[in-house]
Amino acid sequence: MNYFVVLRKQAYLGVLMIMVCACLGSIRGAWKENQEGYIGVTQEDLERMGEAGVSAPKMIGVMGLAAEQNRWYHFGYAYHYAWRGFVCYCVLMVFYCLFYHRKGKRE
Amino acid sequence: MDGIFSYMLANNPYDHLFLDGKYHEFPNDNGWIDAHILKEHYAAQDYDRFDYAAVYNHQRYDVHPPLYYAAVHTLSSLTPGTYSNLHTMLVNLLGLFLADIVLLRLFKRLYGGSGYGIVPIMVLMSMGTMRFILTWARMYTLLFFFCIWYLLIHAGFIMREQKKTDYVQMVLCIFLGTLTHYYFYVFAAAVTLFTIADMIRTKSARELLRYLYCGIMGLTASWIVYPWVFFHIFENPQNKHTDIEGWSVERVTVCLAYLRDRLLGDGTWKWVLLVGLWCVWLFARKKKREMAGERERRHLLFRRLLFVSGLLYYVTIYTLDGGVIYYHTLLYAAFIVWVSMLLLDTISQIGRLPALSCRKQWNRYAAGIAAALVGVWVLFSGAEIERYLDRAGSVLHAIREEEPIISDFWRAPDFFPNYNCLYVETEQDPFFHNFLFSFGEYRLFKKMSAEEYELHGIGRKELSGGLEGEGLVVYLPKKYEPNEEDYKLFAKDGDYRIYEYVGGMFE
Repeated sequence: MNYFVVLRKQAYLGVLMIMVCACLGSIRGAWKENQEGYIGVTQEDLERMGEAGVSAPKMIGVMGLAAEQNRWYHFGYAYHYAWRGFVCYCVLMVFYCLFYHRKGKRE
Repeated sequence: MDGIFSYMLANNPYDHLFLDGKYHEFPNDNGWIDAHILKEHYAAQDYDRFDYAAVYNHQRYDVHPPLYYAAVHTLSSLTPGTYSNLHTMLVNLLGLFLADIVLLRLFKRLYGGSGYGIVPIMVLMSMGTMRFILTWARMYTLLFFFCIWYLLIHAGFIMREQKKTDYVQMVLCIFLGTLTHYYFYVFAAAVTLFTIADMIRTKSARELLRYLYCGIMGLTASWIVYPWVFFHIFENPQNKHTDIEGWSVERVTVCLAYLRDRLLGDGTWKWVLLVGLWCVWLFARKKKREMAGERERRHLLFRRLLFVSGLLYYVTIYTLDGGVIYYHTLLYAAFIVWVSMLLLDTISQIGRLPALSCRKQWNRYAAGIAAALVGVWVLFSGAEIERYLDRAGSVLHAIREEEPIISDFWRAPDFFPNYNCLYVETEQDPFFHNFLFSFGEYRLFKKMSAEEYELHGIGRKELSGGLEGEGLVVYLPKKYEPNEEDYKLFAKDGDYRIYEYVGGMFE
C-alpha cells in the first residue's frame, strides 16, 4: 500500500503521537522555566518609564511587569517536540507499511 | 476577600500577587501614595487591555488555572479604568445561562422533551448554596457549567446514543474544564471511571478506545497550554492540603450534617421525604421490573453514575478540604441532576401503577413536570424561594425609584471626588479589609497602624504631604472617636467609620 495513503489513514494515531509529544515538550519547557530566575524590571521597561501614567503602568521601571515575566519556553518546547512526534509517527508508519506489505504478499 | 483577589489576578499589571508585601516600595511623600497605583491593581487600564500574558503569569504563581481570570480580564478590558461588579457577574451569568441550556439538552436526551429541563433549573434556583455560588466572584459557576456539560456528554455514552459531536464536545469540555479549576479533574475522573467500567462490562472495546482517545486529546491540549498544573499539584507552592485530617466517627457525623444542610437546606424532614420518594420509586419499579427495556436500564445506570460520582467527589474533596462550601460545587451539580431525575422517575413510576385509574393523564408530559415541580417546591422549601423573590422585588423597586442599592459607606468615594484618604489599619491585610476598591478611587492614600494612632492620633506630621486636592476622609476603626470639631462623621459600617476632615489645615 502506498506509504502516504497509510499516513493519511492512520492520521488519528499521528495526531495522538504529536499531541503526547507536544505535551511532554510543554512540561519540559515549564520545568526549564521554573529553574530559571526572576526577570524583574527589563530594559524595555526602563525605556518606557517616561510614558508612565499615559500609556504605561505608573510603577514601570520600579516594579517588574507580570506580562514580561513569562519566558514561554513551554510553547517553544511543545512546538519542537510536536515535530519529533510527527517524525516518530512517520518512522513508525514505515515499519507498519513494511509489515502490511509482507502480510499482503503472504495472503 | 476572594472576590477582590479575582479582580487583582485578572487585572494587576505588576508581577506580585499581594499588595501588602510591596506597599512599602511604592513612591510616597511622607507615606502618601498616588491612589491610582492601587486602582491599577484591580481595574484594567488603557495600556493593558486584552493583555493575557499578565493574567497567565499571575496564575502561574497562584494555584488556579487561568480561564476564569482571562474571562474577567476580557470584560474588564471593555471598560478600561473602571471597576464594576458586572465584570465577574457577567461571567457567572454566562456560566449560568450555558448551564441552563445544557440542562435542557440533558433532560431532553434523558426524557425526550426539553420541558423536563425546567425541573433541574428550578432545583438550581431553589438551592440556597447555589445562589451563593452564582453571585460570588469566583470561577465556580463556570466550573458548574463544565460539569453539567460533561454529564450531558456522558449521558450519551451511558445511554448508548453518542454521536460524533459528543467526542468533539468531550475534547473541548475537558480542555476548558481543566483550565477552569483543578477539581474538575476529580469529578471527571469519577464519571470517567464509571463510564469505562460500563464499557468494559458491555465489551464495547471500540467505543472505549474512542472514548480514551478523546480524553487523552483533551488532557494533552490542556497541558500543552498550561503545564503549570503539575507544578501546582506536585510542588504545592502555597502549601495547600498539608493538614489533612484522618477520618473518624466524629468527622463522618460532621460530614453527613454538612450534606444534610448544604443540599436541601436546614431540616432533616426533607431528607426523610427524599428517602421516602426513593422508596416509593423502588416499590413501583419492583412491580414492573421485568418489563423494563434497555433504554430504561441505561437511564437508571446514568442515575447511578450521578450518585456514585457525586459521592466519590464529595468524599475526596471533603478529605482534602473539609466542608468548604464552594469546593463542593460539582457535588451540587450531580445532586441537582440526580434529585430531578428521581422526582421525575418516581412520578412516572407511580403513574404506571396498574391500580391508578387516571394513569393515562398522569403520564402526560405536562402533568409529570408539574408534579415534579411541586416536589421541588416542597423539598427545597417554598419559603426560601419566596424570600428570594421578595429580595429581588425590593432591588427592582429601588432601581425603579432610583434609590441607591449600596449604602453610603461603600459609595463614599462618589461623595468625595478628588479627596485624599487616610486609613487607620488594625492589622495588616493584603486587601485593606476589603476597602481596596474604595481606596483606589481617591486621589492620594496613606495608611497608618492602629498603634501609631493610639500613640499620637492624627496630627500635623501625619497630614503633611496629603493636603493637596479637595479634602480628606479618614477611615477609622469604630473603637476610636476623633474630636468632633475637626472630623465630621459621614457613614459607618460594621467595624469602621468614615469621617470627613473639616479642620483648618486645608484653608
